[in-house]
Amino acid sequence: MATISDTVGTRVRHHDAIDKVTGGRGYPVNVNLAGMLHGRMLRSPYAHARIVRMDIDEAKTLPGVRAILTPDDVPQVKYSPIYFMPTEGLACIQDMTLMGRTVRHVGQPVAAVAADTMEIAEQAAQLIDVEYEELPAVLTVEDAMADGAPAIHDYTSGNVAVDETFETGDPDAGFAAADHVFEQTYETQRINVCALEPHVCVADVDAYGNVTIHSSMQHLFGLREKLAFVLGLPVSKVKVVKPPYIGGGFGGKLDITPIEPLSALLSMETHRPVRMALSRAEEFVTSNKCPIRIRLKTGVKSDGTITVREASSLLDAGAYATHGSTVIMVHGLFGYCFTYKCPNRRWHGRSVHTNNVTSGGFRGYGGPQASFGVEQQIDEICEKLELDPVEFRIRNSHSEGEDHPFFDGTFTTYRFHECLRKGAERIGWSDRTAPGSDPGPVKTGIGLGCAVTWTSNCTAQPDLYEHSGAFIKLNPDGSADIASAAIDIGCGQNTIFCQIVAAELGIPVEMVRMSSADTSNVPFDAPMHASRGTNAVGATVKAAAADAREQLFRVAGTMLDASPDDLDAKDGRVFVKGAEIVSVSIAEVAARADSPLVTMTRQGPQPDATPYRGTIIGSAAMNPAVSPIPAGAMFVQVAVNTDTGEVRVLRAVYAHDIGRVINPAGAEGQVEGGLQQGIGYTLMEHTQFDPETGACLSGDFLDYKMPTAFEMPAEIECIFIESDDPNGPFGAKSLSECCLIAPPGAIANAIYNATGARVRDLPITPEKVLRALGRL
Amino acid sequence: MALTTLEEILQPESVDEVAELLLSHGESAMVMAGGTFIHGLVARGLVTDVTKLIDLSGLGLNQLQTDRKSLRIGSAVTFADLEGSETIRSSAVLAALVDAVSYPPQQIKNAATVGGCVASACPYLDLPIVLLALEASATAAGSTGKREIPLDELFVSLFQTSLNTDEFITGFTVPLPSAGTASSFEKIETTANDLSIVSVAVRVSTGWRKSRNSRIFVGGGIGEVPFRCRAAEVILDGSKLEDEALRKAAGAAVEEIEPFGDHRASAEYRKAMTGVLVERNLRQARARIQ
Repeated sequence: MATISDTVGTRVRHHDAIDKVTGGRGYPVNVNLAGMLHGRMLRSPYAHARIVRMDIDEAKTLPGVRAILTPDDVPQVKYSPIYFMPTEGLACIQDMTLMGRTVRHVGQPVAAVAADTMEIAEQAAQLIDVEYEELPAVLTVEDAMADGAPAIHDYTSGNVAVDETFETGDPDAGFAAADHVFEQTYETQRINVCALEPHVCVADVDAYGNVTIHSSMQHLFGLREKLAFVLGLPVSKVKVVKPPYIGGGFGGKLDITPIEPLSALLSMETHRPVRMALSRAEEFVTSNKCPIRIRLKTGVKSDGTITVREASSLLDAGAYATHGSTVIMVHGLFGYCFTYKCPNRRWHGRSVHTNNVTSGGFRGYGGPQASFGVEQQIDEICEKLELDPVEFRIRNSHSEGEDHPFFDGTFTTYRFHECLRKGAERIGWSDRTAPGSDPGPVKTGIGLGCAVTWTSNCTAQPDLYEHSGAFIKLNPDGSADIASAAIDIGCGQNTIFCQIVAAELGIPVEMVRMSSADTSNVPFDAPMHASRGTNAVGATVKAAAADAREQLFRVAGTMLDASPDDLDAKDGRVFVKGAEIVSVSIAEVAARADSPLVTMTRQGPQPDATPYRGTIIGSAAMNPAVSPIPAGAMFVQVAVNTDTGEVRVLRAVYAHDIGRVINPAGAEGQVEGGLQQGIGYTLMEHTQFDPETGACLSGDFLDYKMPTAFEMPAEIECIFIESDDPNGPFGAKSLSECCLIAPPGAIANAIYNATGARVRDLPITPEKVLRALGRL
Repeated sequence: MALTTLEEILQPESVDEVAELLLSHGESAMVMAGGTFIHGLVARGLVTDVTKLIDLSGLGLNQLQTDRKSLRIGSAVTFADLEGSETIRSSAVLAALVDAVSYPPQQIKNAATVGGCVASACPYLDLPIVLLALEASATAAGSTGKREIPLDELFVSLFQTSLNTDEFITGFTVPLPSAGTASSFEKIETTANDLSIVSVAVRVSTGWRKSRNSRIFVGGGIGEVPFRCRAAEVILDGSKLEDEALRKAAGAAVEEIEPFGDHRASAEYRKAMTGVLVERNLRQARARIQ
């Protein structure tokens, strides 16, 4: 697709690239205020206990200690920490308390200290003496649901936080019509987001009780709302400062953690700014990707037509409901039900409390957990029925123009079949051999996994608010500033927004900047999550730029003596359509509007001819009309050592339909990063806990394994099958989560194609491969 | 957390000065070479009372020297130095050294030293079992002078060596047997930043038609100190290093080790992989004999 004015569709280097690789001051972790104190928390060593008594006397006397908070000192209001659900939202389970008197997982904070240094605070926290009454703990979903299991919360029955079903058509008739029924269970593990910048915040409360807070998070207004709610303040008393960028979000910074309210309370107590940062070990006991076990039962005709799809999913929510209660729904509906076509569908999902660490948000939000099972089962079906897995997927997936199975509206653009065909061609699908064909112990294989019908910007449904707002201001030098609450969480959002605004205004992309903002001076924006940045925020900044452009043309019209309707802009100039020589620079127009210029005449200073005065500002606040559907197909080639079970990904081809690609360089980066996360998720990452005590066993990067550059394939090919979606800015849909949804199934299928070993639980460690091969 | 108790980094200029500092500061001082292992210990809160680090970088211990009978490795020689040494690269006897240092990322190779790797007395590290298989000895310097410690007498238990409080390692002597000897090292790890799940180093020699003086050492999750597979060595010695002998030796190694299971790998997997790695290494070493 053609580029627009060298802005949209061009490989633009991220504006903050140099800043970031040199440890940029914009990271919230680098916020340093004068007189700042440091806070640390004391955490529970027990998975389930009641606090009987706390003694802080010794800790208080340590020199340098400024304040100590125990459960007695903090509000005991119950809340849901999720940013993207209003506190009063219907789907919200309010079961969390900031430092309650009952602890429900190992590592739950029970006290907080502010001191002159982090080390003193840590030392003081360890001097706090806590007497606990241990309660029976349940560490597996089975134990939690068993008869007579101890209740972790009083609002549930059998510790089940969410119990939902979804059904269409007549599943029983579907099974009756099937020639074959396939039934398997697939299990995914708990992994950590591992953003390189940990959760960190600095809270500063002034003499009037106004809270100003800096934080590494994905949602400015979510933090404002939740913090105000937990502290019992009106939102006007809380100001959240937007970070220029953060060191990774990936869905792990979509909820308020204890550090924001605790640092605010410590700041109120001490009248000093207070910084709190989680250590890496603390990150592992704060939030992890939801582990889900999914049992799939699929009926198929011998020709490969699916007659019924049925599934049951069990999610281990951990101590608090939070994301688990929404991940289970996204997993069931978007990850499972709406992917492959079938009139008869039935799904049953449950999110269950245990005394494990609380499950949280993570790129794909339940999608990868579903696709790991769905994509493998398709290959298992195809092998039995001797069908080609590419053709099977094409036969059973939607086509462009069809009605969406859930949303009002259609698949306006949807090039999934082209993704499959093009990717298959590039990987050499037709040369695929039968499992175990390679001579020698190292065997190679090719596998396919798909992100079939994902969604840009969540669902655009009422309770999941997805709206955006933005201002665009033109400066006298012809540059433009964007003001928006949308946070660049590492995907290059700021650069994309600058490209969109530049294209809309007809100025070079270098002339557009994302300005600073806080909750008091920009409109509401939903979190940077759910693959929504490019599509939803992009559409809003485009609308705001269009508004600014209208005013630009109105002023320029007076300068060019032309009707605004006859004007256009490009390369920094406004010109008369059809007579480009009649033009004026955007800088001159903006300066004219902005300044009190007068024209000197013989009669003295005279006002110039422009009646419109005042800075040119465009604004927009809007909701995305629909959620367009991106899709992707990933093909990988792996090598498996059948003596040791070790797996290497040798090559990856990823074909995507994400609408128009705004910044190809950034999009490729997303795909490569997603693959790296996918390799980690599929082959090695696992947040592990002691099965007896619930204590974390993988609290640092020595015991928690993430792929390094050494584990990445030498060859990664990104193919973008571009479409022009009418609902996106310049035709753009979205990308991010798709990148992590496809790899688990693709890699698992490739391992099977190489060896004949089918591993249905993640991570696929060398040990599991050997066991599946019957060699251990 | 940083090493909060640290008061000073001392930079002695002679071996005697280091011994004096160790003697006067005792347990509150710790010798630092590349710092990679200390960094890991500190990050895990395992270094608590150290107030002084003694930096060995100013002692000139970064030399590699060979004569006809032995290789001398200064304790401050880095992994990158070893990997870049043409003498070592071209030697079948010393090949396992290059094998071992080829695993880590370049940043570690540039910083980590041979002396630090051995003195850490961590069974998960790679060079200790290579030096054991090569029958190396460590030179220890202390307030009363120098002494040679055969490497199999150096490792006492986890993080514990037989060095006295005032002693540190200045270097290693690796004997260079005549032609007909070769070594090999291989390990299983999850990523390039990992500690080994199992690691194996071997050295084989062909004497007058028969193998002799074989060495097989296993590291990783197999115990507090590296394990020598003596039963496997007995099978090899006197054999012709034929396939059957290598297989039997590997089988014997599997029988004689008692690895543990943890969250990184089960004991069963470690046992099975020891067999795979012993056989692979023996084949590799055999192929390297000139």
